[in-house]
Amino acid sequence: MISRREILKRSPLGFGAIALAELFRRDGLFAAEWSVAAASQQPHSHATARSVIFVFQGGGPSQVDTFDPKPLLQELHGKDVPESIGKAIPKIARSPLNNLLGSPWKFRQYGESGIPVSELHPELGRCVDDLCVIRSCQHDSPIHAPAEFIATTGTQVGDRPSLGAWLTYGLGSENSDLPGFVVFKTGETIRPPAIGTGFLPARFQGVLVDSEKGIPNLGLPSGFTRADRESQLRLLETLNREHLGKGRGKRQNLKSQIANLDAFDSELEARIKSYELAYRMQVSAPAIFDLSQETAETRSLYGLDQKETAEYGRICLLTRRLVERGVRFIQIRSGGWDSHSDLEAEHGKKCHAIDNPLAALLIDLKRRGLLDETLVICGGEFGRTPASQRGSSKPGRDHSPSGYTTWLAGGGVRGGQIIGATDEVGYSAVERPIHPNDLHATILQALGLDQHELVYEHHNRREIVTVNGGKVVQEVFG
Amino acid sequence: MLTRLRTLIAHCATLAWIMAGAVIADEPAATKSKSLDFRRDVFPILSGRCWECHLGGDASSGIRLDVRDEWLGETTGRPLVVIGKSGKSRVIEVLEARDPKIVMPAEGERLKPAEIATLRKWIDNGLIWDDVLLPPPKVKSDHWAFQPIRRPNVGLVFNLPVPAGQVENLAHDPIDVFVAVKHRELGVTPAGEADRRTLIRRLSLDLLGLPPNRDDVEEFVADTRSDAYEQLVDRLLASPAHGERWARHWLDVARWAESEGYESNHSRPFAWRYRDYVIKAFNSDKPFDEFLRQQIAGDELPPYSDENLIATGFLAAARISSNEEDKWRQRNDVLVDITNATANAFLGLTMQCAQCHNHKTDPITTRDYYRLQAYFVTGQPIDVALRDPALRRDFESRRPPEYEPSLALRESLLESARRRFHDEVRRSLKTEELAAYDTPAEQREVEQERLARLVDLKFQASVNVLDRYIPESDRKLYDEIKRKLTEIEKTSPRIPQTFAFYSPATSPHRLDVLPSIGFYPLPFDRAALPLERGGIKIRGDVHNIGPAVTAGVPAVVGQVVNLPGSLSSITKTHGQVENLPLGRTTLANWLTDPRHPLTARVWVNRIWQWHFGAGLVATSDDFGVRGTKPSHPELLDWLASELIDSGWSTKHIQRLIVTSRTYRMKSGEQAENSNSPLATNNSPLSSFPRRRVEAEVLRDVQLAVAGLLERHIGGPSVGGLGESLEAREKSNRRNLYLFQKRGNPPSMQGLFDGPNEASESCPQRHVSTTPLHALFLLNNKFALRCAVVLAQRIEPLAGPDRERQIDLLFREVLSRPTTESERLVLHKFLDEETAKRSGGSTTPNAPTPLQMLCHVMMSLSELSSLE
Repeated sequence: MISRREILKRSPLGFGAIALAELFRRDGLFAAEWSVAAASQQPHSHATARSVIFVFQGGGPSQVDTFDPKPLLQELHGKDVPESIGKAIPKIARSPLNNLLGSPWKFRQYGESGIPVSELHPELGRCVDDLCVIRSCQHDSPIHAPAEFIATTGTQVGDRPSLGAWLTYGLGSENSDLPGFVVFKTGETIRPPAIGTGFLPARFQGVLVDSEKGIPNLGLPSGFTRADRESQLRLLETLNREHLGKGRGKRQNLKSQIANLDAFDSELEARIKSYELAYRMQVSAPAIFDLSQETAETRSLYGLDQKETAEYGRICLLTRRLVERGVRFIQIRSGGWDSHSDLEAEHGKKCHAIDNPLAALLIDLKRRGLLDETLVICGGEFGRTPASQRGSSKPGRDHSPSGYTTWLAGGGVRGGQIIGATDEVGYSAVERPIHPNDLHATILQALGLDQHELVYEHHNRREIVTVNGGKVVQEVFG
Repeated sequence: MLTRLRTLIAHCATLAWIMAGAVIADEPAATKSKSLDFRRDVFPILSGRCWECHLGGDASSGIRLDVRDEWLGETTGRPLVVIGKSGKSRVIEVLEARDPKIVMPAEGERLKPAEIATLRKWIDNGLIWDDVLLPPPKVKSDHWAFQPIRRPNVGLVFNLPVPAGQVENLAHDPIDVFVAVKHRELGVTPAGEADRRTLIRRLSLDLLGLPPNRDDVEEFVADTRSDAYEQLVDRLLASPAHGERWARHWLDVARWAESEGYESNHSRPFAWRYRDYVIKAFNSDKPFDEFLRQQIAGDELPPYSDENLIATGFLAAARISSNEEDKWRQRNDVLVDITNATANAFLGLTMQCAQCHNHKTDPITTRDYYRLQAYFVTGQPIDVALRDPALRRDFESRRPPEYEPSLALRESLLESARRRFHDEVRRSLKTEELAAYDTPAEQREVEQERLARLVDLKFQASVNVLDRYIPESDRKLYDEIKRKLTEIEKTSPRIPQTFAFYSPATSPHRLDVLPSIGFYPLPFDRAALPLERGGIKIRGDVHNIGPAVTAGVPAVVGQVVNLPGSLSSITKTHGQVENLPLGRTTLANWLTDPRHPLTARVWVNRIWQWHFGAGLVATSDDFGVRGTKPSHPELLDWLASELIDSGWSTKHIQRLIVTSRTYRMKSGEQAENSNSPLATNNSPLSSFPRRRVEAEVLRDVQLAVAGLLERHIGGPSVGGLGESLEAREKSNRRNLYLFQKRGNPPSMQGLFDGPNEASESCPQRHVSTTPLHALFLLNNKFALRCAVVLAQRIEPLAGPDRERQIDLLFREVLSRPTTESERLVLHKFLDEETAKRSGGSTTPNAPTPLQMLCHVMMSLSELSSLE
């Protein structure tokens, strides 16, 4: 085996951690192996997390109704944003300054930390000592898709790799039978760039998994028995090996240098292997989706027995099972947070659907000793305006990227703390503004990756996750 | 150091004297007024007080003051002067600064008030410059790709001593000569010629993207004519399937798709016409210079033709965010997309870096970037009606007569709603906002411009918002019309149209633009577009407005091939930058100038890559300094010269390549003695590089061997207008015709590394291998359907004889007979499966042994590889 240093020296690119496994990739050596990362197998520094659960609330949950209480907002209900506060609010389209809307929900303090959480999240409230609540997230796009791309890819264009793709590229998966990057969704459809690979190879793409049906194309075609499939696979391997053998003529003479391997040969090897893996997956993956293996207590903990929480609960429980099996990155997207009108009914319903399951996920990970090594992030593409939206009969809120909340838990995060603050009505971040690029740098650090070391050479640029670099939010780790 | 600078300045001064003497006679105007004279008044201040540090390419802080563009910040994006406004000019600020850390000159005495006054006057009067005295600097680069193409003398190369026994193998093809020279250099022995079965399959997959049929294979194998191979090549190049296969290559480069991308991702139901245009272009061997010209400037070319217009689908393939309220950002994103794609596709340069800063490695500045972009600013992608009389007649005969009046009525109702909405917005504005907004754009101060843009955002209203401003009295009528239109649009044909790029400023044709879709569609304003001007966006930020620039080409390439009338147009007109829209025809003519160092090289390199899997320049979209060097530089130049000399014939280059012995080598064999580090990745071309075929080919091949493939060419895409995307999965047409919805490709295309988002020019596909591929091929209905049909076809053809079934199956699917060992394995498989079923205890729809075998064939690695 060649040392990493040696390979770096040989890399035509000459620098960075790209080279190692990217070289392997180009030679197709491990092409079928999800377990092998492309970038670097060694984290750059001490990692506090092994996997990531990215809980994304598409549409934009309201900060002032969940984790960022504002007494002044209640007082000023129906009035305009005071000039003293308004002048500091970034001039972004659709940020009305009139007709403030007090939160219909009450807050109370939870846990030892006493962090206030609204009555929309009673169950998460009970986990608050594990949460690090960042109240000062901020960027400048008030439109869903661009904002979601900022949150998931770092810029608003939607042409860069998503965070999950980057991490799978950087760290691979720990389970070769399963994809390294799994995506679940409820409600509206996924926005492909949010789980896409941008300029990275397609194999790092998030695999969208149906929480009921599981991984696509996993079931045998109708009429086929397992025995049929096994004999097909035996035949297939024999014929494929025959094909592989054709290119084998003179290979023995060669030194076993990576540089001299026939790229296509190793790709063929990989392909032969991919059929074995596919079959192993076909055999083992359905078991993951068989939740009858869980105890009644666990199923009930996740709210599987309640109509309103069953779907999200199932996703959360599957998430825990995937984390247990070493899947690197799980992205859960729930749609329907875009409460322009009738905030009270819409947010009420959405929060109820996720509150219990998310809390259950934290509790369950913790009691299995997994929370320490699993980083959980929860937030939307932006928050919502403290002001009421014009023209709707039942009050709602518009999009607001100037100041919104994202919480983190597990994976080395110091829980029970609040970072940053918005102004007195909860409009924009006035203390410790944190951009999604900063959050990405922080997530990388938890996984032991240096944002400037995980690179991919593209169009003459040494691309990094955080585009032009983010600032790690060190306080997160306490 | 200092001495060197002094000498340089002294030189300049002397030069100035000589020049001054030489030119004065021509310029009586210079002495006409007592007003400022650059040579007399400004030059001495600059040379005496500024240039000691700020001169030449290695000037202090990167700020050079001997070039007019640099005063305007055209490469740094940080202007030192605002023309006409000395009070707002950075240079005056630092000259007058009190703070010793800021004041300039950094050493020595301050400038005298009279000197500063002179400079102020100079700035206020338009920064008049003397191009003769201080010409714009030449951008020099000794990078190979920017040097002229030189046709190598093949005879000379051929006469180089070649080891005995190899000369006669070289045949007469110059390609083989260049490759052989490299072999010799590296001590590599090339592989021998592949057998005929391999060759016909290779050619078919490469040129048509389809497997050869069984009869053609046998015929070719038996063909004893000496030019059997060449005949086959001609036949394949003439097949209409060739254009379909090669169109897909170009569509990758053109980042073409059939929807807008971004959030709304509306379909572009008429973008298919561009796809068909590309197919036809390859089939008819359209000269590449014409192909390029039509795509870059089709709307401008006289006389008008539908084909020219359709070709601009290349530019129009840009993504558009039709949910973007900020219309500057919206338009800018489109322009950036078009500029990048044009530079990638035709120049083979990664100019996108220069959107925000000067290119880090290539001699390309931010100014170069925005000058290229300036060619596109007066146009935009839009649906345009076609003029073909036959199409129009057909359409008019089928269109319900009430459609267009209804459309017009809805527009007029919306227009009145828009007026009401605007009035309401105006009433809500503060005085200074209104003042900024009402000031004509060219008269606004920078702050006013910023304010005006914010105000303008308030005027943006989606159709849904306007809906609320329909007066009560019109409400019933409006709702009725809306309903009626939806109804008509569901069933009636649409006006014949294409998704094109059109500039009402530079096109001499007045084209019929059709309404756009989306919440906030990119507005098409026939009157406003011609006023759009190119300009630098500082750090790529659309609201950070830098200096204006005229359209122009990257200076470094411009040195090699001058662009008439464009290069120094800025400096020619003193004072305000002259900034007239310049047609894209100029750009196209420059790109296709036979002396252009990049266009022909980039194109032949792509052709080479599509034949061999890798280009002679491996980075086929980056011929810049950081790109790879050509493995065979002389071969590249020879092919480029051949392209130009053949009248830009793509088929000529293809024919040269595929008839070479280099192309006909056996695949998969590693060269012996390839111990040179240069021999990696088969760069010496010691054997034919085997590779997996693209997603589209894999799907087409499966359909073809099953006998399911539907073979008509062109037309609206499957899963497009009026159909669900699901229709694509059941379709038996070539993958090329399946609707290209961004982010939602047909399943096989998405899985096997085909285009997905098509967000930028794709020079080369990745090849990835994951278990998901295996799961798809084994479990998805598609491959199974092909397998079942294939079995159905084989059975009657071969009869019940198993030996014959196996033989036929291999000939049909892989174009070859089975080997002895394969035959044994296959018999064993069929025997065992038949035995299993003889008990009669199988599931009702259990596959037959032959179906199972056919199903395995669909997953074979040989089926999906180009050997």
